[in-house]
Amino acid sequence: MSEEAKEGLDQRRVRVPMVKTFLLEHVGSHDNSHPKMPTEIFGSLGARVKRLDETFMGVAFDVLNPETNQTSEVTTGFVEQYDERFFAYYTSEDSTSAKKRVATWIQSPDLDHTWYSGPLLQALWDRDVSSRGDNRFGKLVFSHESIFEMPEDFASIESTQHDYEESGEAELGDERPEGDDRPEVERRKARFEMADRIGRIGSALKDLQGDYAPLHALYALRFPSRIGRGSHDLFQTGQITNRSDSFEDHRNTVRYLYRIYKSILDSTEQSAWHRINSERSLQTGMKGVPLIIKFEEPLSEATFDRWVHLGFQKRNRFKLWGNPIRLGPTKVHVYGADRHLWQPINLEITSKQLVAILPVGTCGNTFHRLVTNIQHYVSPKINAWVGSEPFERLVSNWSPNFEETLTNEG
Amino acid sequence: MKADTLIRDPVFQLNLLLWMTKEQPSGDYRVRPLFFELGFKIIYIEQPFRFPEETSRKAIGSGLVISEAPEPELILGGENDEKALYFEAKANSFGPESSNAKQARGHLVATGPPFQEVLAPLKSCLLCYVVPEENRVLMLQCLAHLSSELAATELEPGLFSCHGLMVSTNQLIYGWDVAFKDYLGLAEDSAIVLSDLDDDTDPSPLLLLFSEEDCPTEGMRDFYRQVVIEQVRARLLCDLETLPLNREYEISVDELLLETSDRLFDYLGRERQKRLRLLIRENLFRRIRDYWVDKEGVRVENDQLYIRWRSTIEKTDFLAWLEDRRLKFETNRPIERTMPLLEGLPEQVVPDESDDSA
Repeated sequence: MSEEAKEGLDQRRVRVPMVKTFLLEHVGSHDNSHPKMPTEIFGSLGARVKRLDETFMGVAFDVLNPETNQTSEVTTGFVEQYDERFFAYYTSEDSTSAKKRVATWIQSPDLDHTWYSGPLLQALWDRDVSSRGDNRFGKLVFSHESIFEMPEDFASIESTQHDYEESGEAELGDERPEGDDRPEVERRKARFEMADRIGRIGSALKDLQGDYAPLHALYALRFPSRIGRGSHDLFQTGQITNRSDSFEDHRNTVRYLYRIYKSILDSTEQSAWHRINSERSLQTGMKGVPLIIKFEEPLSEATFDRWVHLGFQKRNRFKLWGNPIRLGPTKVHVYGADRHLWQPINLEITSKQLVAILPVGTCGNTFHRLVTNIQHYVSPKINAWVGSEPFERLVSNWSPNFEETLTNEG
Repeated sequence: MKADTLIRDPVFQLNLLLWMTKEQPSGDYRVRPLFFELGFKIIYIEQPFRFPEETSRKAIGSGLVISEAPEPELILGGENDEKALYFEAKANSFGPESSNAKQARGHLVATGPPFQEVLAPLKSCLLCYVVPEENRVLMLQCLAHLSSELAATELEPGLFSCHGLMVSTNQLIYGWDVAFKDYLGLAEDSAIVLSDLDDDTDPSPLLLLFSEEDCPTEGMRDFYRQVVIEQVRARLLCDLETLPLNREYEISVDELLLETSDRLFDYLGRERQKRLRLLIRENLFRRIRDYWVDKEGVRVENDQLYIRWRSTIEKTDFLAWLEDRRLKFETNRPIERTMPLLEGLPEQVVPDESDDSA
């Protein structure tokens, strides 16, 4: 990273202290297609990209100043390229603007979030955060909303399609504005925040999770700084907010989380398609293994119907396209597509489980997005496997060397 | 479709065998991965087994009616290339006088010494006929009869076994005989491969492979055709959503079927390929051509689709049409036609001599 870039970021950090980083995946880079350079990707999104060194660049957009009503070019943030597939976008824009900007970017088939599913956040807690010192303060946020669950007598106000459509997520700790004057659907909706000393959280968490399923739906996790005061908040969609004194510490944390995600995505793709590779075996997708997600509590027929009806509409949170083919009251097959990456996906959905098969060579990101969204919107407690490998084990398997780099890199 | 009907459906049988070879969790599988657990992996699916020259000569000289390129549903190879399983799935058993006996003799010959010759380094093979459980003993008797016929000639038939599918309460059970137990050193006689069956729910797992001529009932063929059409439609959408303006997209029916079958289409027999090709050409490409005949950017010529959009409106219109979930493509049996030699003349319908209800 150049001195100029550091200086720029530090200056912005002083003025606007909360640096937010978005870990993004270039989803066109995994297959045989030609990976695009970040200058090309962000250029096509309307950015002026100024390269600062080999891996670091400034990103400028025309931004409307509400006070003067004038549009001017503003450097909204900086992109660091880790490899062909992963970028970090650092910004100190206010949270709403930054999320809106990134949400617009990921409408492009070139970019997607990195998906830190509940099992992965749990693994990060178990393997890392829980051992950062019992007296340090940590924070875990759990979020689950059964958006397809709806009592029959509430059908008249169900027309708010917004519930099922994709939208920006609330900031960690923010309350969603329900509004006293709006009707509220009676359905399972749980949002918990545990901010306490790590030792206390650690001693209570397992028992709490055993008693209440939504406490498996981890949505965000706070990483106390390794080198000083403050922390870094990691969200499900790969946003990391700096609450520490040091940008360098934040940057190291982002790089650490990138390495973990990359390693897990590689393992996922290895498990899904390549591990059982054989020279003589037929070179077809028949070798692809399924993702199986079992719901701890079966869905009611009404909830299942609503999911099947709404889960494949144009703007749905699952970003799936397909025509469900009925095989029974609570079973469908969908031979469809992941409409974000535009890659085929075959799904079997029942009231008890989901089975997904992706063609060989497609992006493993879809598996992580499915697990994240199912836990968030369908079933808070799940058991999942890629092939014969438990998803929990798959997302817990990263090199311990990654943790050392947290304090060694500058 | 009830499970006790499906166990007579060769498409269901083959897909079940494929799922039984797929890596899945040991206790929480979709279909019990029995063959995966036993260390087997897929070698070939629906590929003709061509006899070596010497075997062909002996087969002709035997005086018996023998298929010289028998086409098993599936061949699995075991760890260390020691053992292989050679599967044929049937809706029912048959007798030595049946027309199916020709194919069965071919399978018995293929799984003898020619197997190692053709599929080295695999060393040995067991022929496995899969039928409904109630037909298993009759099938075994038939194979024993055919095997002794062959052994009386210069030919050396291979080992064989019979496997049965049975629905019991709410489970689908896969059973086998002593020959299979001995070949693999198994202690059990059967395994539960599907659980939680309901009378009102089709127990089929996700369809991995379909060929029309293997399907016995029109109702199931409609379902399988719908799957193939939806897979091709999804593939087209994936390609076209990312197609830039002013760039030509050109794809054939065969290329689409290769993509959606993970290149398995190449390995299918000629008749199976022809049926699938016809389905996509007539029920999907023709619909695209008829709807977009007067519009810009989309062209269909025989088995080839060409798309080049010059404006966002053209692209948006087409994709909105193809994506619209209310748009249903026909799943009935396609009619084969020939293109006219001169433009403007009507197309000719090719008479269909095959029996759709066979």
